[in-house]
Amino acid sequence: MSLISKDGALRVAFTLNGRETTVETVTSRVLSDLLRDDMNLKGTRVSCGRTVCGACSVLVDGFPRAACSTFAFEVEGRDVQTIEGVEAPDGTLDPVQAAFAAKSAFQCGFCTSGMILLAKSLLATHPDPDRATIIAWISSNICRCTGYELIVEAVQDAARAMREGPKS
Amino acid sequence: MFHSPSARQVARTPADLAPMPLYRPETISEALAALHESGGTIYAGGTDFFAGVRQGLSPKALIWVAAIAEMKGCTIDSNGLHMGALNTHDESVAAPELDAVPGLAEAWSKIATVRIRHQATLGGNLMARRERYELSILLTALGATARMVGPELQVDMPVQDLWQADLEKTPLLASITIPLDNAPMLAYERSMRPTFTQALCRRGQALRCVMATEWLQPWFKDAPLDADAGQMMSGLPADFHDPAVSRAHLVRAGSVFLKRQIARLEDLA
Repeated sequence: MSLISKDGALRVAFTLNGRETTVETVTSRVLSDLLRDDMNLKGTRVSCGRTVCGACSVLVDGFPRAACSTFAFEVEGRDVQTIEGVEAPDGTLDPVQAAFAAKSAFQCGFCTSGMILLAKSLLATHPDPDRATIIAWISSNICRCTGYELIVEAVQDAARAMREGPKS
Repeated sequence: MFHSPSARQVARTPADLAPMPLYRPETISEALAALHESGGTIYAGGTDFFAGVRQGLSPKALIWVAAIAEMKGCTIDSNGLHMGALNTHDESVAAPELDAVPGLAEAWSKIATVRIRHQATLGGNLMARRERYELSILLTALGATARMVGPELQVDMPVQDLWQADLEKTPLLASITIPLDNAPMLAYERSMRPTFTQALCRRGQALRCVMATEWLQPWFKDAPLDADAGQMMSGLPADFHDPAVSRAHLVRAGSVFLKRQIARLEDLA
C-alpha cells in the first residue's frame, strides 16, 4: 500500500524559483544532481556530498537544506529556491547579493551560492540579527577563503539595507 | 551524469546509487511491512544516510518514514517524557514538554549546525550508532529508553544498549522516553569536543555522569549526590582512551569539568 515507485521511476511536482515545475526522475536522484545536471542550474555547488559543507544549500520552504543530501522526491509539493531565483526578474540584485558584492565577501566563490541563500533565510526569520546569531547561522556552511569576517559584515549590511528599504 | 562513477577518486557519491523501489508508509505497521517486503533501508532526515552512502551504503529500497505521524511530537504522561523518533533537533528543542527536564533543551540546542538541526532527526542520530553523534550521550545520562518495534515484537531498551543490540527483530526506533521521577536535570559540557564531552544528570539524590569521545562509545557512572568527582572519574575503564586523548587526561580533565557541572546543577536545583 505504501509503495509509491516499484521500478524507481517517479514524477515530482514542486515550485522552483516561483514556477510550478514537474520532472520525470528516479528515486535515487538527489536534488543537487537534478538541479545541476537535469535542469542546468549550475549555481548550486556540490562539494562534500554528505550535508556537512553547505555549498549546495538551497531553500526548501524558506529554510536552507543541503541539496546533495536531499532526494528529489522529498521536494514534492514544496517550494524550492536556488541562487538562480534570488535576483529580481529585471536582473536587480537581491540586497544580500548586493551586500556580498559590495563587501567582496568571497574569494573563489564556491561557497557563495549557499552562503547567500543561508543569509536570506536568516534575515527572513531574524530581520535584525545580532553578531552571535549571524555567526551561529553562517557556521552551518564552510568557506575556506574568507575567514568569514567579510561574510558576517555583508550579512549585517544586508540586514541594514533590508530594514531601511530601497534608496530613492 | 556530471559525476562519472569512473572518475571518482575517494568515495561513492549519491550519483552512484541505482534507482530503487520507494515506499512512503503512513503508519508504523506499514513501515514494518515495507521493510519486510523489500529488505530496504529506513530514510528520514537523510543527513546520516548520505554519510553512509559515501561509505558504501547501497540500499535495496527506501522506506521513507517522514509521513508517520505516530513517530512525531512530544508528550508527557505518568511514564515520562516521550519524544518521537522523527522529531528534528529543532522541533525537539522547541517543544515545551522539554521544560520538564531543565537543561535538556539547552544541551540539545548545541548539537550540530542551524541547517542540520532543521533536517536531522532524533532517530537518525541514535540509529546511526556513530560515536561522534551526541544524543546518545545526553539520553544515556537521563536514563532514557528507546522503543524498538518489529512485526511481532516491541522492546523498550536503555539507550546505551542500542550500541550492541541485535535489532533484526525490532528494526524501527519509534520513540524515546525519559523517566521524570525525582525531577531529572541535565548539564552538558562540549567545549573540549572533539577530545571529549561530558553529560551529567542529577535525579533526586543521585548522579549519572557520561563521558564520551569522538571514537569511543559513551561510558557512564552512577553515584550518590555527594560523590567525589575525582573518584567518579577514576572509574573510567583502563581501555577508555583513543588516539587523540589518553585515559589519564580524561580522568584529570573530566574531574575538573565534573566538579563544575555538579555545581551548575546545584545552582539549577
